[in-house]
Amino acid sequence: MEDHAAGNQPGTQAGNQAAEGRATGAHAPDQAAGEPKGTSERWFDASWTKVHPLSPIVRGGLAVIAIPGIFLSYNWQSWMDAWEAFRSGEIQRNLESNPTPFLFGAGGVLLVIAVIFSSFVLSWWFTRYKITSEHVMVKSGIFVRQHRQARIDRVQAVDLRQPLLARLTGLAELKFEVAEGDGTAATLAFLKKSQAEELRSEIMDRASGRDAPLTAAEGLGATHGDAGPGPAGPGEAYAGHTDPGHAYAGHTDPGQAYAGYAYAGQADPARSHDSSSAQHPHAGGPTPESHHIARQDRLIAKVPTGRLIGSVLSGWGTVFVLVILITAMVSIGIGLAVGSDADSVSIWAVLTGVGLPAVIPMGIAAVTIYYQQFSSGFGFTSTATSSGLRVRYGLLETTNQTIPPGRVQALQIQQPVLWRPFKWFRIVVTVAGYGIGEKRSVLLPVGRLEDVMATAAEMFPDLQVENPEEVFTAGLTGTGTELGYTEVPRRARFFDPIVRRRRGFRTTPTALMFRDGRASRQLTMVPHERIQSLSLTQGPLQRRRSIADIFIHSPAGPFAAKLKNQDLDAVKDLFEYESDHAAQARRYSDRNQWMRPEELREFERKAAEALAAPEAAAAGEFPVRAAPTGLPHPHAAVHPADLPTHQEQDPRDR
Amino acid sequence: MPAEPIDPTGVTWTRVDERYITVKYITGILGWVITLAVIATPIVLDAIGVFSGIPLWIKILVPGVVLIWAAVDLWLIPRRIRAIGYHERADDLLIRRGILFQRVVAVPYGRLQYVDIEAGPLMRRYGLCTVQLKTAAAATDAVIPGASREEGARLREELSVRGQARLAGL
Repeated sequence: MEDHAAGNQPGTQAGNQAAEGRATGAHAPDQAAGEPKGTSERWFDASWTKVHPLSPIVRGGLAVIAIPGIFLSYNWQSWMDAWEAFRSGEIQRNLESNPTPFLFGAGGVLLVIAVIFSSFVLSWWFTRYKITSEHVMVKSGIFVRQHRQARIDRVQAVDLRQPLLARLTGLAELKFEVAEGDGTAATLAFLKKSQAEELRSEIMDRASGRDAPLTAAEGLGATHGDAGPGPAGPGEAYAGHTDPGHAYAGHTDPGQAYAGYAYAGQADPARSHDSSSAQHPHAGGPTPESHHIARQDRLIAKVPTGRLIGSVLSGWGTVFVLVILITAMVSIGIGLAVGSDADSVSIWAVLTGVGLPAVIPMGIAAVTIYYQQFSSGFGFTSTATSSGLRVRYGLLETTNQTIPPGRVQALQIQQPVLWRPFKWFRIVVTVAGYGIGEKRSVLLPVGRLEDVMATAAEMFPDLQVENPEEVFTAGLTGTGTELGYTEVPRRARFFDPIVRRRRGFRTTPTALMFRDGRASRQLTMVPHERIQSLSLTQGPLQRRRSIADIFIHSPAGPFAAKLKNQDLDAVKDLFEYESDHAAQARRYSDRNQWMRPEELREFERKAAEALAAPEAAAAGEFPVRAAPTGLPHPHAAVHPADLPTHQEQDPRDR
Repeated sequence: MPAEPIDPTGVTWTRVDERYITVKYITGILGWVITLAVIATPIVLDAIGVFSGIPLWIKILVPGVVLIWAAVDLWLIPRRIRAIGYHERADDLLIRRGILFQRVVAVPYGRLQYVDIEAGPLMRRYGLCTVQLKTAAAATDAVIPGASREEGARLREELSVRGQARLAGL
């Protein structure tokens, strides 16, 4: 609201009303976050909404309960004495004889309670949020005021979090992750859960461009409502959606059709072509079932508690504990063998003196790690919804994340060494704004191959190869040069004696795949158009063997896409290929609002151009610079899936 | 400088300004003088008798190693700076660096978040600046140190224009 405020610095009430009326108008998006304090304008007006009154208490969390609890229990003896005195009538007698200290005491207690209570009330009163057509804005703070705003079209993901107290009170917190800046852009804490869910789907719809970017408050819905003919059928598909959703139903038809398009990774191609032809408004009302298909939530993966416990117990924590235990055993054994003449008492003294103090904290740490893994994987369910993958988990504190598929920057499938006999995998993703924290980046804490494939199919572009499952499985578990993967060349086996045959990459028309790890395995996949930049590095020893490292740069995430010791010519080709192809792919896919009809239309147009001009589409293929000259390309055989048979496929056409 | 094996084919690098070598000499010498002074302090204190007990071989070996290291470091400065290069291509900017450990980075214009130009007092005196390219990935680490100020301004304009033309979200 700064722009309004700036506009009506001299004015007061009238100005503010004007501001409300103008809220839909052109809204200057790039105002600085901090508003100067002490100027005459009001901090917020009636267009700002308050959060739930219980919020401060819930935000205070356990402290609200724990601090009085600790206070009472810490000197419980004196409380007991007071209680005894009260029962025996001593207090009453004292009160009658000399009431002053009691009055002071009671006054003090009341004052403390009043201060705490009023601080809660004030912090609630000064926390307001507002959702305009372009921004989510949150203002908070009594003395130090804070104004955070997040551009809706840049929203990367939305989390709905319920800490324990919020669960008990039926409240929820909404977190919006934005690409710009570090950390969470805006947090709405707390709203009623139903309200938060409604708001989330509304924001996600707007972020995806499926709804017209307008707010409910403006009452402009009516003008759009008559733009489309059949609001009734689609309206039903918006179950749990806001009123403007109904009003825009006609308007959103193309978007609806595109929901089918964009999520039709597994659907038959005919449908996606239907939807692309339906992009022109009024090309015909969409059939109700297409809406239902687009809107229907599909269960992707579930983690049974048994498997979760197994996975936690066989995870890295256990490997760590085993290593510690073995080291301890060996050292004790050596100690016994060497110092066999020493009497056993001193050995026990050493064990208890050194061993226990070291073991106890480690034990606590191990239990904590186990518990965290367990609680953050508990009840894990992922569902495909129209606005992305909805992930739900948590034991005491539940979190409900929504991640649109277009916001996944990179994806990694991991298999810790002890999971191998169970054929379990974990999926972590890089989403801008989530940062390097592991917990929220987990797309699947533990799952079998089919869960992994279902999740990856939902969140990752189709690989566009003839045998995606084989390629995928080879990336997870395979070795050697089959199926187009590279490996560390034999001449460099000195550098990677163990992982040599596993450490390699492969490209598909849509993505770059890095596989690595011998005992515990990883497969990292990055869509070409999500690559921020890439680098090649080479040290002196690597130069002698003509190998190099390649590094794909993504926004901060739980893993880095790096591949060491690859054949120099192969990585140079990859470097060139990514430079070319990523630029092309980006041109097709660079859209913030990944479902906006005009952006998709633009994409369709470019795709058609690319089809018309095969040399332009050559960007979709692995380096073909060798092909026109007729020279045998040294790595052509390594990338069979990228041979020109794929030429008519557009990188994004699935 | 001949093309290194790691360099993309058909790329002629634009080198940074030769004046940057002088700047690097100045900062390098300053840095080594300070380092040597810190190392020399206990030896000098020992010599004037404030305290004693430093063995002779340490007194010779440590400053000797540091001196040799400093000499090699300073000697390598011109080569190191001549190894820095950049090249503007149709869709991305390439930056290379390093003699022994070489690195080539490609930054697509469409991925640029902003271009940072920085110049300290010394750099300003020699009319130089450091151009830094920022993408959403911290690992990008694309820096062109020691470009002349005009070149820096040109690069910023050029990159901004190209970035605008290919502007993208993430």
